[in-house]
Amino acid sequence: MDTNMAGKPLKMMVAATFLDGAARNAETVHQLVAGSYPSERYCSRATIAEHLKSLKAVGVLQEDGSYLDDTGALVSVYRISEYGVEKLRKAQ
Amino acid sequence: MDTTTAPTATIDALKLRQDVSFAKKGLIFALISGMCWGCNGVILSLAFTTAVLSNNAYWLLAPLTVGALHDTCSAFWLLVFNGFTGRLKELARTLRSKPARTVMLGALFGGPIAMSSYMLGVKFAGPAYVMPITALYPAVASIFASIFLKERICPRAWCGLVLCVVGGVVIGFTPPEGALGSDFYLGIAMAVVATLGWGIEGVLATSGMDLLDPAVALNVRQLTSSAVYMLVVLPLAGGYMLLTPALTSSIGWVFPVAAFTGALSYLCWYRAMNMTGVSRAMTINITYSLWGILFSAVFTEVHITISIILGALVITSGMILVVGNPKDMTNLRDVR
Repeated sequence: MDTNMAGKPLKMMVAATFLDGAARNAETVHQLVAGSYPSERYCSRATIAEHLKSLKAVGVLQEDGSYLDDTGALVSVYRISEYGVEKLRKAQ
Repeated sequence: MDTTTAPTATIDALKLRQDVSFAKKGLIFALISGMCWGCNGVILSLAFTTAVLSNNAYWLLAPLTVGALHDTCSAFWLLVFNGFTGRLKELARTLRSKPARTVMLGALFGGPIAMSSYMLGVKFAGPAYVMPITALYPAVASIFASIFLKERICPRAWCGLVLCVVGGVVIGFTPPEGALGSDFYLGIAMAVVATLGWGIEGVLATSGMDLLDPAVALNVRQLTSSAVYMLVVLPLAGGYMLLTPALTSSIGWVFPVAAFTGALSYLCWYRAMNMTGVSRAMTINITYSLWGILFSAVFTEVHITISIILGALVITSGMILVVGNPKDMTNLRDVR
């Protein structure tokens, strides 16, 4: 995790997890950021999934693919865009 | 990752359904925002029925006091909401972050600057001229959004936006009264400042919300607006002399109740801007003029006139054009 992001808002932190260029889904992002927001119910998988959809809608993230999990639910995988990298750089 | 093999067509269909559902939710938020703002206006107008706030000597201080009380109570309601939903620590983190400065700047433009300019505009040029100018704020916001946020706005949506603005003007138009005063052009300039202020707020807030939670960003907005009203605007406009009389009069209940509908309206509006884009959210939000008249007709003695029916039809047509096909809203901006 980028140490510059410590104590930053959750949505910003969610976007920053993609700065390494990897593609991730909501579950993976949740595992990465949960330790930075200990015992906060706000940092839930559902909130992160909502933030990912919002980040995708405004162009910070791009959808890299999707698949159906064991329960048949759609899982989206995201990757950061050039615009997202620039936006995060300016926000730090 | 455990994955299930599924036909690509099924996954694509599910993905499209998910994206369209997200966009539609944003449109519903925008519509609720307009309805709540219409209701908010009807409730808040009751404040001006008291002797102290309708006194001509306080033509500037009274509406600004109402604005200050509204945004302060609204900030309080949002603190309650964010506390209830476990967002208070996020609020503290957000207040220290750089994107929050953009939201605070937007709050200054859309709150005290735009509202004070609007009041001065109405005073110097009259509502007949100021109202049509300020009704242009969604168009101004859309132009800024397409330039600064690279928001995609198709020709059909521009046509819808124009219709919604025209419908708003038709509903709210009041014929000019008497000769133009010597400060007429100053009043027009003030109306332009208000229009720009509201338009700029939408773009700045949306830019900040790219990396912030809309509910928390809105709390930052209302806390900023409240602080500026209380510490700068009211002292400049004449002081705090109307605060206590307003809160302790028979209509003291109006402020927390109106602020509740105002907070709900803003909450939906900020979420809508984040989910469907500034242009769509603002255009649908302007239907508040229509909802305001409908609520007034139900709860007060306002009568439905031909111009109201005509304006409603124009606004509805405009909204249909703006909404268009939600499938077009899955990617809001022209960015890579």
